[in-house]
Amino acid sequence: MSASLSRTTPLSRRRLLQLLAAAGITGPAAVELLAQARRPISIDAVRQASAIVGESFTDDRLAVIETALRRNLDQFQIVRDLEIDDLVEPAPVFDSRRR
Amino acid sequence: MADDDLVFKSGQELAALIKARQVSAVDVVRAYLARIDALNPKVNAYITVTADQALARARQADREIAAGKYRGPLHGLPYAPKDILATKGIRTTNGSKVTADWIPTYESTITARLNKAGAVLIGKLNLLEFAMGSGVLSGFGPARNPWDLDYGPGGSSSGSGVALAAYMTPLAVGTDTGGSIRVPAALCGIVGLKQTYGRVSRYGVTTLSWTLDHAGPMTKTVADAAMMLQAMAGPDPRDATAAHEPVPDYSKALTGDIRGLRIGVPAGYFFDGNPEEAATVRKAIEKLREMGAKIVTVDVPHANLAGSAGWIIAMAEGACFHEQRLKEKPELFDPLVRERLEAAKFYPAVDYVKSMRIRTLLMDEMRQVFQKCDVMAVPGGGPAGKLDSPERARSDVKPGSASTAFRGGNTFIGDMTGLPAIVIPCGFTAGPPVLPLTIQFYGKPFDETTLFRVSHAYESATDWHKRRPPLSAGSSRTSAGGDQPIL
Repeated sequence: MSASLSRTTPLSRRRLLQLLAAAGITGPAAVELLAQARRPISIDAVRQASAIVGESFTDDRLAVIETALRRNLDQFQIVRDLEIDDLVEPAPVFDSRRR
Repeated sequence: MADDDLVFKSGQELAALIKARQVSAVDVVRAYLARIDALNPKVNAYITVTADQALARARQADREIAAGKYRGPLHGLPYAPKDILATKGIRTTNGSKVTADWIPTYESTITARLNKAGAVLIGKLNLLEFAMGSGVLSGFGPARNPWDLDYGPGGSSSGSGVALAAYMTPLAVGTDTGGSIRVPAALCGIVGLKQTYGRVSRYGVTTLSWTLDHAGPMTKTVADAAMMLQAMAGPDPRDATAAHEPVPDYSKALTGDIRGLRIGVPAGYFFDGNPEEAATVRKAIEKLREMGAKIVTVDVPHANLAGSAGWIIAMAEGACFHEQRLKEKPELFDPLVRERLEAAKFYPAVDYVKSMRIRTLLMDEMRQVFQKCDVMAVPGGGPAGKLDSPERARSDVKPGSASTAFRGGNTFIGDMTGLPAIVIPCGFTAGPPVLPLTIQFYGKPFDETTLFRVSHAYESATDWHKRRPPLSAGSSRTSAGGDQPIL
């Protein structure tokens, strides 16, 4: 076995879904398994991220935001999991002739 | 003519009576004002009622009509817009304590055009705060579904759906970013049109999402929706996204003839909601086949992404729009709105842009759908559910529920692609309670004409739209079954 293959390579979420599908686990069950394995967001993580977005929140607000973001991660993941062709550009199209 | 006789007529029927001077605009407005007085304490459809101004406008309409200066079918007809459309000199609350006392110094293009056409504004309608709140904790409390007061009317154009279902206005205006015209239309059993993005100007409509917002007519009949769109549509120099597409004569679509029309019916996702509604919609599609339409199977492979990607776009744009307001007065927001907007500040830009690419993907898939059909038929998204408790209403994270991606129903794809879509009644649940069920048609860009054609034909061949909720002005709850006229 070569040195590169002997290293543990982190599996991408996409690859994990493929492996689960091969094992017959698909759909909501697969998504739930991956959700449980996902690294959790913490209030501390949101507090630190607040510095990036230039905001400061009380601990109470951070708790609300953290709970909402954990739910939002499922939305993000569905979008992130999609393999999309390079030729697909964002809508709307920028038009320099703005009227 | 008795007030009851007037309020149960369609806008088109009232227009004919007003034009022929068989009734006055003042009489019509008075009839609706009396009905609002009687029912609004129960259903909370209106935030503001402009009785004096409405009567003054109605008197002006009557004078003009008597002098031969008839402006068209909207002349003298009452209407009410969702309280997110700026009305100059008239309080516009956005359904929020944050802007509870805002008196705009400008008029939205939509209300300006309806006013110019002679329509009479009778009040401003309740909504979910900033088109995205809980309704329950939004600034002016929840509107209630006239079919059962313990049930929600959907949103965010909640008051518009309620006012029409309860015959408190013949015409209304709503807005739609993810379904906010079509969901209350579905849950209240009325007609809701989200027209093509750009068909109607958004100037003067408080923004939730610049790229997803639409404003359109909500009515009791398809002909009334066509009548309203005729006045509302067209370019606007104050809205760069308002299209220069010619506005056709929509009345020509109302023939009742759908022979040869191709109706696409998608498999899977769109029919995965409520089974009773799905079955009812399939019966409606079969009726359309009997009327001469051709039914074809179509597919939208990534339809399930519309909700998740649409949510990211809507919340990110909304957080940007409300940035300053949220910093200055966070405590005045509906807790649900505040939660959504504050969380959206952390959305990665790459996810937003990818969601915009998903829009292109969906537009391409729908373009392929419309190579095979003229309209696509799907369930409207009912029936209504019970109103949330204040505890449950304050967060998207409901106690005891698993975290799941926002599905987006059958409506978000319309906002993501900008395609026109109309919801019309097609049945009722077995109950109890007996609640409306609806069918939704999607059309090609700027082809509202074909949507009017198919929906008017179905409506003319059925009588679902004529049923009235058994709401009695004398009790706080609906009466126990039977179609009794409302007070």
